[in-house]
Amino acid sequence: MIENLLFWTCCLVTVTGAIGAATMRNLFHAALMLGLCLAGVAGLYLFLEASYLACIQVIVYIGGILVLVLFATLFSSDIKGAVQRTPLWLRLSGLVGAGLAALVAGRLAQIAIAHAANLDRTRSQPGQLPDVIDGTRAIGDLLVGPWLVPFLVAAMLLTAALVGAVAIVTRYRRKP
Amino acid sequence: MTLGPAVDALAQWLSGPDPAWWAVGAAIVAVWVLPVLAVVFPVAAIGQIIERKVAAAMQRRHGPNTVGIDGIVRLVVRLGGFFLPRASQDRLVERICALPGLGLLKVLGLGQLAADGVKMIGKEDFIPAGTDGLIFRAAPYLALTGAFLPFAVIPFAQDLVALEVPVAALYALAVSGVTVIALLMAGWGSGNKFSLLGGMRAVAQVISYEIPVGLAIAGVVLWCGTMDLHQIVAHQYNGEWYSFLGWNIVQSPFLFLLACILFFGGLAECQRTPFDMAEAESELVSGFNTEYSGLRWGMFAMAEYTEMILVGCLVSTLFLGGYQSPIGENWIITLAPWLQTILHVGIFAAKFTAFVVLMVWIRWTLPRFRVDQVMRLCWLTLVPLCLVCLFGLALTMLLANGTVTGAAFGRLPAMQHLALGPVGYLLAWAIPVAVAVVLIVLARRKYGQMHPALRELTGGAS
Repeated sequence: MIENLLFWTCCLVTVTGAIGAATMRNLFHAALMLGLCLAGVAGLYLFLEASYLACIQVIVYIGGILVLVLFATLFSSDIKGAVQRTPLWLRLSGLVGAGLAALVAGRLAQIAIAHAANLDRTRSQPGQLPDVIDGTRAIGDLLVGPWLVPFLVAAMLLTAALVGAVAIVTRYRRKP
Repeated sequence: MTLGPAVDALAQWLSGPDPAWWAVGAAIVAVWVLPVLAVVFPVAAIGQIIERKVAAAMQRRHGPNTVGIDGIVRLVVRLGGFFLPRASQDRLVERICALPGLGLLKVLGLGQLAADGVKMIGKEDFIPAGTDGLIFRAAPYLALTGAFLPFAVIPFAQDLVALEVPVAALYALAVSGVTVIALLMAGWGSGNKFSLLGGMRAVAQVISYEIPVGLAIAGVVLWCGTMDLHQIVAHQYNGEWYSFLGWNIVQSPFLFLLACILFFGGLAECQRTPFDMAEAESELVSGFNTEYSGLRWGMFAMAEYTEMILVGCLVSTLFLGGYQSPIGENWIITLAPWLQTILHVGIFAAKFTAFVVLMVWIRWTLPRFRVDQVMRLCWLTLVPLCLVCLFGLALTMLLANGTVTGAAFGRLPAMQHLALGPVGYLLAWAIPVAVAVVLIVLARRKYGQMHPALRELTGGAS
């Protein structure tokens, strides 16, 4: 089925991007691989019928965060990774982290496999699943309803960060 | 994830009720990919013709598009008469091209497009030493992808839209943002300081102007209560002969301002003059596309023209009633479906073409802004103006309907917003305009010039 093909393509892109971002020596290439990973995740959102989240993922993470990361890599004196070598302790802790991640992933896979049969059964009976509601409207209702205060707090925090950045820049400009 | 009724129907027609994967793939290509290519490639060519013709008209010259399609005739005559001496061939060509009907083949110099295409494909795809190979090569494809993908959700007529998604407006904003990465890749991959500077300028400009553009789209989404471009068009429907009064742009002064902001923000996002300091040939030897040649350079150029047309399409769809005619829509609906579609596409094309002409006009009229001026315009003028407009829109809706949630507002048939009648409509225009005039007069009297802190922040520019 073409949908399976698309799904596995998205998975492959996500995992390839993630591995590339972690392993590539060239910082710029690593950042671009991170973009590939984020695009794959946006594709996976589409399979969850969350087109709004997929669009936001692309706007915020690819159009915003990734550009920030790419700009930040340009400040590095060793973008191509020719000089810097990863110290041993970092490699070891990376191994430990990979092990922990594998544990979590294994447990998730175990749960998923255990529930796969369950999911197929519910899907074969129409009417069992709730009707797919307009996710965008639901998210909007939640954001300005029960989650209004956290939403506003986050907005205030971001505004404060913006003002702070401007303040820092103006202070440096005054000195000379 | 659904693939849409058109894809399903085509796939089932190809290989029975439970379609095979190849049938679904072919249907996806036929329904999603081919129409976009068939519409957008000619559309990019139209952009180029408009650019050249308007530029030529403004500079009182003939312009470069003088190659007729008669080149084909000439070629055939030369090949067919290869055994004749050169002078006889020339005479024969002259005779044939002097035939009365063949003069039409020169119309608009359309042969120039074929000549340009052959030239670009034929040129060497030169990749200088020191470039970051794969990134340098991939950047033009990504730029073209980002420019083409938004067309999938633009409704060209009643049933002429490749992909109907409930978040169409957001989708267009999201996928066109991918171009940013392509610009940065081109700048970095070229291995050239000027290219990198140009790329960074371009990216800084595009991501800054995405904010006013996004806010302008958000204003329409707030007003119409939906992100589906088709429903936004339907929301602007007005059955009377003066159907342009249903368009968003005349509903409220705030929407008018947002339309202007969307247009100028879009102009900045395509990096056209006066916002073309990313290319700035006098400072940066044309920025991120310095090192590109041949077809790869052509892809960047095509992406620029495609984006111009995309901006025209977005402004027309969101604010100017999309494919609907300005002088009554009901008489079109009574026509045969195929005639309706042709009329709608023609009307929509006229609208976005007008915007493209406007962009070309601006390009050949205004000089280029400085970097700080571009940034100041965005952050200190457009963004606050957008926020004021959003607030004003919400206030208008609150006063007119008692709610801004859009639940009672957007889901009802169109004309809901004019339910308050001519008096309310006039008030919706008069009150904000009066408030703005009073505020401007007061501000001028009190400050007269820029606030000292603001002046310092912007580097002393007045």
